[in-house]
Amino acid sequence: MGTTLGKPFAGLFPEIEPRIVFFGLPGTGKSSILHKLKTGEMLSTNMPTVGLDMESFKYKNSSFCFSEMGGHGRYRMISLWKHYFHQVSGFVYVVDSRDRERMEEAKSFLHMVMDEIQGHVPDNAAVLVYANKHEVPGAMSASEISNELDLASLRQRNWQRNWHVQSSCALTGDGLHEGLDWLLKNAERM
Amino acid sequence: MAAATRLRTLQSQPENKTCVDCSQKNPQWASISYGIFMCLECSGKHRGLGVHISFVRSVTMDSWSEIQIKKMESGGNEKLNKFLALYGISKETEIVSKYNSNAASVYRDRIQALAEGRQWRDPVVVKEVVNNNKKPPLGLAQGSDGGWDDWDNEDAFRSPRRNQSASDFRGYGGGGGGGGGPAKSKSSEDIYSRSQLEASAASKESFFARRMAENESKPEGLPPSQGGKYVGFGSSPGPSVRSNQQSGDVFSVVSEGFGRLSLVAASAANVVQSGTMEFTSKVKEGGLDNTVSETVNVVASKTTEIGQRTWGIMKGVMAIASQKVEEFTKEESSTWNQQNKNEGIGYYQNKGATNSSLGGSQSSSSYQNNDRNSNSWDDWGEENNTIKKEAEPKVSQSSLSGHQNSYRNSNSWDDWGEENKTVKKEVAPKVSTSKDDDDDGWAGWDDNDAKDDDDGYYQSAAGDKKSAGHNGKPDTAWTGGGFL
Repeated sequence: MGTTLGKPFAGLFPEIEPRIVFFGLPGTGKSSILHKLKTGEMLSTNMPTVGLDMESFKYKNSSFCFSEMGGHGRYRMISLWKHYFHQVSGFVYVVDSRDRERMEEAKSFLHMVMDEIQGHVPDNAAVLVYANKHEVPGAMSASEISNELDLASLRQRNWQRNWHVQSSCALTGDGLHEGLDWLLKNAERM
Repeated sequence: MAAATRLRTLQSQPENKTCVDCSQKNPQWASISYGIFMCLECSGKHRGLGVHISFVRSVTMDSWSEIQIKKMESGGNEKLNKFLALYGISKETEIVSKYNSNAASVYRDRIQALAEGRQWRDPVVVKEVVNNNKKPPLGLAQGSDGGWDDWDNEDAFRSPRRNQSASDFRGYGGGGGGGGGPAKSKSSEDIYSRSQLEASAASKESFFARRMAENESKPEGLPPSQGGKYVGFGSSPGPSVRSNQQSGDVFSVVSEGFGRLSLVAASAANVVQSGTMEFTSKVKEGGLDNTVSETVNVVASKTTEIGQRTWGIMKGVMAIASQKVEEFTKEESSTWNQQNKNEGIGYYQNKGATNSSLGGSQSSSSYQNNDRNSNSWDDWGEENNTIKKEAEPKVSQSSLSGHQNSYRNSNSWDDWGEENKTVKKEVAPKVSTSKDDDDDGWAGWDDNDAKDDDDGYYQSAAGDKKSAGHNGKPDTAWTGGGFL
């Protein structure tokens, strides 16, 4: 009964877009990346994202919903995040490749989130790491960053979870689509 | 909670009640690097400077550590502005140049020292002329052009202290620049021309397509700041590969089809590439020149190719290899390590074709080691040999020939073993040169007049000692248990 009644209304609710969640320490370039991906333009204000930001746009004929979690206040917000993680197909973790001092923090944050979401999101939701600000002299290489973040342990915890580090530059847009392509191939239900 | 109260107290001080850069009331953001409070808008600009210049946190939303609070306590809006005024930088100075100045960097050090409880003496004041003619950064970009205009500025403050006078400042102890990366002369501004950027904003799709194509053509192994490629690095394709690794029978693996093989090969190639990239950068840091890293690149791509071509045959090689490694590790002298290297390289010259697949049945870390080693083919192997000859003409001959024997015994390579014998025979009479037989082994194979060829080899060795030193690197990794 419920299904027959439900059918006429199905058209009212568009199919849920695959959701990609951006998160990372503050000031690493999450908003810049998202803005660049959506508009092709450089984000010229650098105001902190408070709370979260949602964007949806088409990429390679499929449309995505990107939720961007503000870096500030992340520890307080993390319990809220779970609600946004329900239909998540992939994660994007953004790190500042020049910021060697906060690598330790970036690592513990990533692992904290991964622990937190275990069981709440599909096991095969992939993790893309943008090693952002890679054009800055003295930036760490992609493999260096994967070591620093101890990404290998993601696989030890869950063999289905793929990860990939993509070096990128949110200002010029280099590396962004390479990363998305990977995510497209690996993320769940895409 | 104590932290929150301390912050509140700081915030309620009169000097901190207006933004440090503009005159907004009641600022809710702070830069820890200077111990200052600022408004949301200015915090945006500060974030754009990079965390090594200004590290921004929210007073209300972020959690604060003890040292961060201490830094805030040793700072203050008024203090910073007074300090900068001494150096001739007014409060109204444009944020980019204000915080990229020497004075600001001195102040960062000062805050750091005070917070850590160290002694701090202000260095001699040197007035600065800050280039204030610069276009102020636009607010929200109205059109695409605005966005791209801003790029120049953005770029300028990304590269630290570029707009300053050449005179080095005494007080600058080097602690100020958070990341501590080497200063480079080339910035991304040189790489992307302005017209390129403007054109790109017009069409996002084609822009990204072009960017990717461009990136594709860039050389790997260089940091992007030097025109290198933006590379990726990731986990291997999936659990299916792992089961391969456990399987003992080569033929069953082969029969599973080439699809999977190429998968493995591709992942191997991936690791090789990234490994090589890292390695190359290390080599560069070590002061070796471009040619070396280029060689490495070429070599890496070679393996990739080869790895994709061949897979079988591998197990035999594996067996020999591990056997050999065990044998080698028994020998303890450091000179022996050198021999080992040369042997290893020579050995792979013949079997190079199977190398990356060899890694396939091991952990990925040994992948890199193998491949790097094996890749030092043709010319390298030779060079290495000869250099060693120069260095120590008569060392551990016996162990070498012992090794050769073991080789022959393992005889998974029939014709190869035979050839080996014949060489042995020919060389045998000249006892003193039996070493040459081993060394040049695979390089001087065909004509097997290695010892007569010495001149040529010596020359090449002298000409390129760098590659030899370079070769040494992967080798230590190799002997360090790449196989085990």
